[in-house]
Amino acid sequence: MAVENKINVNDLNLHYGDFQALYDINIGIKEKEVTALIGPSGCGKSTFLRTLNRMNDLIDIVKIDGDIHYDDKNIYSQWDVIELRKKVGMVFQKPNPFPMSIYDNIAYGPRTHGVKNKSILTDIVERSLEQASLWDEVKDRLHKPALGLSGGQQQRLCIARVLAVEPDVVLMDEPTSALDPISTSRIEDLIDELKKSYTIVIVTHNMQQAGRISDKTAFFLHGKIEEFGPTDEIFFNPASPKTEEYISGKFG
Amino acid sequence: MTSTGSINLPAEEKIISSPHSRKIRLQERIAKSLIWFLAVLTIAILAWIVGYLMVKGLRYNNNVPYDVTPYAETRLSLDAFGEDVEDVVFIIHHKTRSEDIPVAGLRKLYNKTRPENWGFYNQQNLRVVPLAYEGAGAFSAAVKDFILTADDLDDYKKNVQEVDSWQDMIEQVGSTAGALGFLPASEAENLPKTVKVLGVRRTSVAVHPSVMEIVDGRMLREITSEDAERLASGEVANWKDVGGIDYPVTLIERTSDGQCLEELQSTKGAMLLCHYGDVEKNGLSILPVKRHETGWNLTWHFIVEAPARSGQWGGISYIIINTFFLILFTVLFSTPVGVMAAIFMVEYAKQGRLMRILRMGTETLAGIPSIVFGLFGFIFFVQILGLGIGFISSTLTVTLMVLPTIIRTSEEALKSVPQSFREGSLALGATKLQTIVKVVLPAASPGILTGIILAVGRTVGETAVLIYTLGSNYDLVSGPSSSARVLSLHLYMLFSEALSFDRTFATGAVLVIIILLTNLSATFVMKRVSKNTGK
Amino acid sequence: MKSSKSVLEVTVEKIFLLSALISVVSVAFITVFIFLEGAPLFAKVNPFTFLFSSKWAPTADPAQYGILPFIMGSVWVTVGALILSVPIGLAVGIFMAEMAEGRFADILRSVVELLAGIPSVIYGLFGYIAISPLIRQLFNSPTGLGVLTASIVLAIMTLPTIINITEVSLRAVPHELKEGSLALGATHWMTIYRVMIPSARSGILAGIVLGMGRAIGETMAVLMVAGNAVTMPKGPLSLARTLTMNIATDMKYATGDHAVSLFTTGIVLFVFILGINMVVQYLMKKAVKEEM
Repeated sequence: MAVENKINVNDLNLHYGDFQALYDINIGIKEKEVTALIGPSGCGKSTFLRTLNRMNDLIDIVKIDGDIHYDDKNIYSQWDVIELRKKVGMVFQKPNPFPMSIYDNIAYGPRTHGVKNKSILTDIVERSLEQASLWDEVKDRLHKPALGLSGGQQQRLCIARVLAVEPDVVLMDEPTSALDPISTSRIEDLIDELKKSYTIVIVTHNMQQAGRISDKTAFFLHGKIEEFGPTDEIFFNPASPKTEEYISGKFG
Repeated sequence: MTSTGSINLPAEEKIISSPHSRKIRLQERIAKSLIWFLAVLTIAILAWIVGYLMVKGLRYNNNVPYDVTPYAETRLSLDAFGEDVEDVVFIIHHKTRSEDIPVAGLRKLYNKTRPENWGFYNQQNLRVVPLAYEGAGAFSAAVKDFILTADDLDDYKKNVQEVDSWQDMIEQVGSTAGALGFLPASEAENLPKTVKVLGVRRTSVAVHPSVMEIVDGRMLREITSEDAERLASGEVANWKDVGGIDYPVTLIERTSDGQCLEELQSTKGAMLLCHYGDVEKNGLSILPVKRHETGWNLTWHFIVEAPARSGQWGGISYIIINTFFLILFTVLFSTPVGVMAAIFMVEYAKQGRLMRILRMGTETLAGIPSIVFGLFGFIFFVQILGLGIGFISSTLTVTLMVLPTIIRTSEEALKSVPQSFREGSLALGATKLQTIVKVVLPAASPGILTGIILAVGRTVGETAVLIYTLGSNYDLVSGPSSSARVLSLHLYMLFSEALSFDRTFATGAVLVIIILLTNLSATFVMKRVSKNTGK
Repeated sequence: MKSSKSVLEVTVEKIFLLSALISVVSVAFITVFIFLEGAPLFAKVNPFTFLFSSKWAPTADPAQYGILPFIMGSVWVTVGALILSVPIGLAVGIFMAEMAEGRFADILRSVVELLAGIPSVIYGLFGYIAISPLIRQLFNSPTGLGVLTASIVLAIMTLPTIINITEVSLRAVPHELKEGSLALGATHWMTIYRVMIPSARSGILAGIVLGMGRAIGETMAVLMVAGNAVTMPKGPLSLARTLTMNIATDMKYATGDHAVSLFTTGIVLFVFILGINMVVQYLMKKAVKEEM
């Protein structure tokens, strides 16, 4: 097991009831890199992403076999799920700000984890919004409802909200699919900025996006990893003919 | 490693966690336990209400004080009226639901000027037909003397019907509802099935007046039948053991010469088991004895017999039928109007001012309390339209009340019919009306039926609206303006007039059973609907 | 032929419209007639006196009409009922929306439906027979009837309303919000009370106000357990008469101005209910908007 891997997945199998969604997944995710998960709809990439911070726990019928290690500790037996989710944050497809003020949205996480001091909270809010390059746009309306922001701003708010709990890894589930092109490019810039300090795993439908922002790419097909490697290799010199077909747009 | 959803692993050493995580997890556990508790409490509350009413409604369980002990004699010796007189047996028609009767009651049945009713003793609305045979010489005379108190001979003669022989007595009692007769014990062997023996309770507990004196603000008012037995057998030595004065019990033997009565009146703390007749004649103090009476409260008779004496006697058959009529006519009036209103709101009305007004009207109507509907029904239908307090006024008022229920459920049902059904039909050249009648309504009918069932439930339970629109007559509804009672109203009347808690509960149990059935059928229909639409 | 069909269609549409208008017309009629019957009292009794005098002696000479004790009676039992039913209703609503599973959920759902279906006379009877002896023993009150007993009975009666609307409102909270909170490491409970309940608050509030309307408008159950005393209620154990009880009790024998005053009581009750209805409709609209 390579030490520099932030997350190691060994022989992961996942069932929804009788249906097997993931088969023998083995993958290592390196620190401070962007790993993109691509593949046609229903290939299991989102399911896999949600397994990494145990969001699949919410669904009763899900059964998981295999090992997932985060920081060399098994996420099921050695991590408290609260701590795990603090370390491994998640940004969703649809921006989901809470129906409260911008400030309270960002402060929600820290408050959850016991930060009560107002000045510390204010610092966290400012820092997180700056990291998500949203500070300048919202600094005058911190106590206005977050639902008043535009879609792109809302998604950056959600990223800021994740950053506020000081995670190690940020999981992103098609974070730009509900946004317009301008907002999308801002988020992509943001991801580029964030990878200096965070490990990022991103699910995307957008092949160009994967090519633009990721260091490594995993191609999922029918619940299996068809191919995993440096993004350049996957895109320009794929080992599997199926990867090539998908990349060139023959299906998916 | 294998794991399934929502894992809460025990806090092992190697688990990476923090005190704060443990704290918020504990918070969660406490909060959720509290919620679980309240959910279970809700179920417990319902179980308590329904269980309590069903138990009370199905069986009665009372301790009733009487002047006589529960001991019932089927053959009564008449030795007080002559040495060699045969024992007497009282017989009644087999359908009279009495097993025994206090001797004072028996005398009233024979003597009262007004025709007596069995209802006073067993809630069965049945006139008493007392029969007597005068042709048996000393025996007949002795029985007459036994039955009569002081000077009611005239009433007796007016009331009693003569028979020709003991055989005739048995036949007449067996064929006359409510009949009451007597036989010498020798004739009472092998009685036919149409006749049954009525036990007579005539043993009283007579005491020295001191026993019932008020001491320290307490007084022995009555004793249980068990205590009476223990007293009679000498097991109780002191009155305080049965809740009375602190004084020894002196048990006096009954003698035929009246010596015992004198002894009783002169001995403090004395007690004597004697006949009720002796007590009456000599003005003795009686210690009432409670009889534990239990049995089925909600019986077949209660369901099928007509109510009498404000519901104290008989059953609730008319009330049930009236309830049924109220339901029937309410559904008949409200369903077409409600469904047509829903059709208009779903199929015709466009979003806009009219729709807003219609929706607000329905919502407001749904929120108006039933007593306000009652007031309105009273002014508008009863007085202004001159329909009077009665069936039609109440039906119309209740119709307005349940209208929102029907409109809302029908609206939902119509909305859930897929648009493709309508398009398919319209594409085949059907008009909008044809489409609605032939395609949309059939598809929505189970949902509409659910609404009707809900409206039925509401109608059954409604009371406040009926008090001043339906009245309180407990006869069968005979026409649009006849005043009547339905179950809920009957229950309230029985309750507020404090006539009989047993009957109130029995009525309540019937009401609860009807509501349970309504709810079950609504659930059943709804399940069918969701199965059909595949949701 | 074709034109006759369209005449039929138009006629039927008109009939449908008329049916739909019946509920609106009924509301209008109810309002008008209650006011027509009740308002004449104000020619003889100052409205202010009527509302804020605590002397009710309609058969005395001179007759006195002050319904403040009944307004206070309604307020006491309603507030009492809500204090008891809101926490339980919220908890059970949360349970049904977020925690209940399988058979137990089905049972609980049937239980709530049944609680809503039980007639008010049954609740009254139960309150009189089962609850008032408990109150008598626990608090040493002479009859066991009064504000507290009425509040308990009304609390049980308003539970289904609050439970149902809480459940529906919580279910309407977008799943993304719940996931967003959980993904930040919040516990399920924190997610419920810091994200989901605030998101559903308009709906939940509407449920509570609706329950309040039920409690104020309820007649039979309170009539059987509140004690029906024409005095100002002073505490949870004192006997009370509510607005609805005043109408139901006195209608039996009222004549002349006394009868009119009952309709005037009806006006007050009606205005309360209309106000509550307006609040509910406003909150519901707001809840729908928040969902979008």
